[in-house]
Amino acid sequence: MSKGPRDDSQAERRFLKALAEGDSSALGGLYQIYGEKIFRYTYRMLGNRSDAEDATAETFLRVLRRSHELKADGAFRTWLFRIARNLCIDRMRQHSLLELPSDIHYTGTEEKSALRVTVLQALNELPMEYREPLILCDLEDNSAKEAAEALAISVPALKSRLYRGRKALREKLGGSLEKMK
Amino acid sequence: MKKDLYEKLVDLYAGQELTAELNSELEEAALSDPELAAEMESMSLLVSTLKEIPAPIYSADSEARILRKIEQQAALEQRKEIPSYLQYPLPMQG
Repeated sequence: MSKGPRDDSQAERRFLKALAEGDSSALGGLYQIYGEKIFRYTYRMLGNRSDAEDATAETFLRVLRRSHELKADGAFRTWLFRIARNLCIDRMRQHSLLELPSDIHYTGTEEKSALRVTVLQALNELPMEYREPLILCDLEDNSAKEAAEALAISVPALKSRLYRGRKALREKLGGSLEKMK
Repeated sequence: MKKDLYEKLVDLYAGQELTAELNSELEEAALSDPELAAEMESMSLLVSTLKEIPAPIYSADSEARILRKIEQQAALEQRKEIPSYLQYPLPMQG
């Protein structure tokens, strides 16, 4: 039987408390809850597995380094995503060229797969302020509230960026979308 | 006036964030407004394509590599925290 969000939030509180009290093995528990989510987010942001693995590891190392400051107040998830985001931005400044992920497996018709690759390529070319909301909301299926918290902006500001981001993406794609209709 | 509102609602329509009532209203308006209909169709196709982009595969190998990096770096940092007076002194040279 799979665990629900309620189980995860209770477990999160327990692990945070243990970690704050000096039990570093509790980091493993937090990793079980958030490791995959952070990896997927960093992979979407950075576009390759190796950088995503480094950024994910560094995200959790920062949690460990500041473990004595941790509070089980429900803000941990937001804080974790902000750390991951800042690490991604630093890394992207170092390598200005974003590669297309080579190990994503596309399914469906050839046209659909080709369109997804084109969309992903266009998404990677968008300015960061548009790209991030699209990754968090449309690709990773976070709620507007969760995405807004991760980006440290209000929900209306997030929705406005999402709207402008989708429009900019559609403009970038030009005729590619029309061909699929 | 209503048209301006519909244009703003298209994005919410594509993201499936509209109430059922507004959804129907917009779809009805699109029947007599080809421009609005085209806008709704292309925005919906864009959002659905974004949602269909496969998630990166989180493999067991990736997980093992990440956990190894965390363990190794944490161990390294823990060693650095040992005060210098407790570290083994290097033999004098010469």
